[in-house]
Amino acid sequence: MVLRIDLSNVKIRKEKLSKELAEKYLGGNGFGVRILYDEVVPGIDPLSPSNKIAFVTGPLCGTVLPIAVKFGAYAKSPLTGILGESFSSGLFAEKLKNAGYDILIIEGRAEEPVYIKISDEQVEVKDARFLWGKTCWETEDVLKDEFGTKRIGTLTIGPAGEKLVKFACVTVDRYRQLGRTGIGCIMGSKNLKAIAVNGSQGIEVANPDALRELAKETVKRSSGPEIEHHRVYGTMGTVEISSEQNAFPTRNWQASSFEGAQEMGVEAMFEKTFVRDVGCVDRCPIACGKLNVVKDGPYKGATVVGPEYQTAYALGSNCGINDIRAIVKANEVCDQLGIDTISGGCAVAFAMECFEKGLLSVHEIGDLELRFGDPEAVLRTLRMIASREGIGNLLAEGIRKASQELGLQELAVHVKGLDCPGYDARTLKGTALQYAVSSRGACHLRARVQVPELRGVVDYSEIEGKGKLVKDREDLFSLFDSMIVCKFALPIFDMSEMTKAYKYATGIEASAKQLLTVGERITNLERLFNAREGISRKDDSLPKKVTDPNQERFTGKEQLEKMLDDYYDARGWDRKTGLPRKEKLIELGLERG
Amino acid sequence: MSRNSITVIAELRGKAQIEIGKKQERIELEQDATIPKLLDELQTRLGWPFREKFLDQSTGDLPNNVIILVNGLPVRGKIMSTLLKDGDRVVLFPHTACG
Repeated sequence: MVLRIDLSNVKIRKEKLSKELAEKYLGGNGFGVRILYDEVVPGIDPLSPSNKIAFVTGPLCGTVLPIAVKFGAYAKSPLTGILGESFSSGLFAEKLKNAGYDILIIEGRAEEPVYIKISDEQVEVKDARFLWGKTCWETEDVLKDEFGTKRIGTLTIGPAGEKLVKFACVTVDRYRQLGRTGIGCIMGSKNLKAIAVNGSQGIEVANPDALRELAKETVKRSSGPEIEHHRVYGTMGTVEISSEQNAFPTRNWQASSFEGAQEMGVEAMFEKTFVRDVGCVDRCPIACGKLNVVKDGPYKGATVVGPEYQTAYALGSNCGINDIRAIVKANEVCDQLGIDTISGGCAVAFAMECFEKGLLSVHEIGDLELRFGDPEAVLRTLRMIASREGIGNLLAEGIRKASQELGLQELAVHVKGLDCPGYDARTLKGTALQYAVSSRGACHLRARVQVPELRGVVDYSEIEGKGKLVKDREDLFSLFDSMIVCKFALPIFDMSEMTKAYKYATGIEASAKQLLTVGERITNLERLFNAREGISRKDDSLPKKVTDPNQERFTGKEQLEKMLDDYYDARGWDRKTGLPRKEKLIELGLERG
Repeated sequence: MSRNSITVIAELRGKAQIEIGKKQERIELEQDATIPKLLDELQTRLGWPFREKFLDQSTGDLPNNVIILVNGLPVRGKIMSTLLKDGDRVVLFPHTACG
């Protein structure tokens, strides 16, 4: 079932989920991209009422399978102007499914701030003027009081979303976020402060006994060695692995390893701030999340589930911060104000390099001293971004636009407007390619090529074979994001388990090859969506900080061009335009022959 | 140190560092020693199961869930052919990349 809410005239509709959509696109990523392609008119202003947000679940979500608790959000991004996408976890997805909805589509714009309350069939759009100005956490507390239980799913925006910071995030159940591409900004543009959902209807599956057995096996396997690294260390376990291999961007990508990595890495976290493991939901057997609380010093009391690796990069090494306690505090500030930690940290790091090189005038910077390694400067700048005060107003537009306004594009590290994540694309060649071609801009999650590269499974310095590798992994993880299964579960939940789970949940038998074709179909449709917005081969590029040959490590333009040729060939796309060929679209059922 | 011996610096990370309580160990080995030989020496000296953790008995290579870097480069697939030299820095991660 699709729940569609038009905020312009408070029109609430419940529509049957089309069988064709479910079969051809499965759920999650597939649903999100198809809805945007069909319903969002090309060329619209992402902050106009015409933009839509689709919150999407998957066919396994809400079932007994404990690794299928995520959901996605899709919209045209205000940060990049192309496909906007972000995934998160928590109770929201299973509560929405239990209320009877696979998809929630938000349209239009409310005249005054509102929030949406969903309680099974009862759907209300309520006055949120009393919530406007509150942080994400304060807002969530109010919603939980109203429901009289903490066991609800909540999406909230903070002051950053209200002020239309282009990389504002959505906070989910306090400690999780729809982080990337500015979904929180779009909620703000629609005057939508929050969504709260509770559902109690239960979820029917085709073969509950078989699915329960599969869930039991998955839980059992998750205690084994294959996934110990996630269970014990979480994503923070990657900090030193990355830094040691010159893959940990530092001080706005002025270096590839961080001399302070040990002070802010996983051992420091365990010694100084770690409290306990936390799963996306209580029943997740992996529980890669780490609850961290600062126990002493000026940031005593700061509390987050995190920082994740990417936050440790963006608010840590990239800003020259080597104190795990300061990173926890900056993470907390972002979560409360509703700022994506990656884009927020990268915006601060960009401004720090500009400042240290004397490229910002007093008019632009005021009395702010923006030096790498100063935690107070990071915190102050983040707050200025959320309130759009001083230089924060410019940084709130994202580093692509900010750097254009300042004439300092060569210092901005992004692809298609999305700040590069924390795997150094100068060192890791496949990672460079995945940043260049990812549908939402520089993305580390769609292909996760950094994993085999950092493990030494493939040679990270080699460009041969990376086109096919990125293509295959994009299709695989498009499938994971459509079902929606946690990508970290791959070592214990591969295509064999995936086909079984799909059959047990839906009753539909599909081979691994058929499911992977769905992944390929979705990636092609993403490209078609972006092509309508003007994207082609010319945009599959890398920032100057990556390609500049006048540095110790770089991925040169010629190397990128070679990898792009290989990638387009593997995809069946035209080398010249970088767009899908007609035959490929017919093969995937995206065009009639 | 004899003329035929070398000294390598073994850096411990993750559980190895936390459970042993040491960040690094200088190890004297014979010239051209292999990684398994280093693991044996570390195990003897520090009493931690390095060999079990870092060697897959069936393949003779690293298990998927660990990483060893020699001078910053991964040695997966080259566990026996990598010959250690004097001054080499070997970092042992009893876990792998995620994030």
